[in-house]
Amino acid sequence: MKKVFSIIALSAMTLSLNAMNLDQPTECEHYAMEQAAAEYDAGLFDDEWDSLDSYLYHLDICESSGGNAEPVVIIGN
Amino acid sequence: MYYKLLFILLFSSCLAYSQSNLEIIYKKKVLPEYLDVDDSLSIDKKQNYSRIRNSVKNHIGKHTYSLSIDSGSSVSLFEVVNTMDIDGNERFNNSLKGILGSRFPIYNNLKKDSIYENADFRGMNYFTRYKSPRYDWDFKNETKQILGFKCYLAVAKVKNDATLFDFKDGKTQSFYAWYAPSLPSRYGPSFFTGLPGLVLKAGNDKFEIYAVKIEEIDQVKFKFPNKTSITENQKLMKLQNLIRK
Repeated sequence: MKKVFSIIALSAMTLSLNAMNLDQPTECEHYAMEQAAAEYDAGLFDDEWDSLDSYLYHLDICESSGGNAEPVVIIGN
Repeated sequence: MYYKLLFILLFSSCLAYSQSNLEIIYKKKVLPEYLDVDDSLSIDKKQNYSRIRNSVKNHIGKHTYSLSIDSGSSVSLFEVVNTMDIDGNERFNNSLKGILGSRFPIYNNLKKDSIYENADFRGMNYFTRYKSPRYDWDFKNETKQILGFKCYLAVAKVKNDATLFDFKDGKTQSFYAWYAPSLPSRYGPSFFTGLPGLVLKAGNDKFEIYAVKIEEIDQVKFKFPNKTSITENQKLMKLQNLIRK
């Protein structure tokens, strides 16, 4: 009986931890959002698709570098 | 007698345009306000912003857009037609095309009172239906001649309520459009539709899209896509899933 309870408790803990992870933006998500906002403020784009492009681009860079992305120089020729 | 003749001539030319297929070529440009950088910013930021905005100014005219109107089926297609892409800078090219919402093809179906954006994004298609007009236009008395057509001004204010990003939340955008009542009504570039005349010039406080050529064509080169559309809310939910993987 004790065993069953401890399994239930453990499962509940794991589930709640997973839920927390889903709700909390990761550092890379924070970083990508900041970069997208900076590019938007700079006037690089005004379109939703390009905001999303920018966010996902910076998210990819951050995640592929293991979360240690350098500040990116905003694009533009 | 003279006025009667003039009226008949004007009426018949309007009728001719309203019944023929048209192709209108547009280009985009930045407006002076876009180049004004806020003085309260740090020197580094100001330099960076100025560099980016000047770059946008120098390259935005390299893309051309067309609006093809099929008067028979009351459908138009607005799309990028000619680009001189800046090599190796796909994101910058897309940003330039996306200004004023013109990155992806947009169909305007008058019979359905709807505009459809056909976006292909990261391997997925988002064929999204919006009501037309998308903006609540306020009609003004100002007029001006554009490509020889008398145009009237309409303005609109749009609040960004349903947006993917916090940094855009609650911001209000002002739009304007110059429309020619003597040309087919309710058509226009991008989302600038639903006015009692063809839109020949439109924009916000930073960018403008303007017609450079209008010509009659025998046949349009497109067909309205035969596929299921999604609503704006459904699109938003799908994109939110992209953000929170």
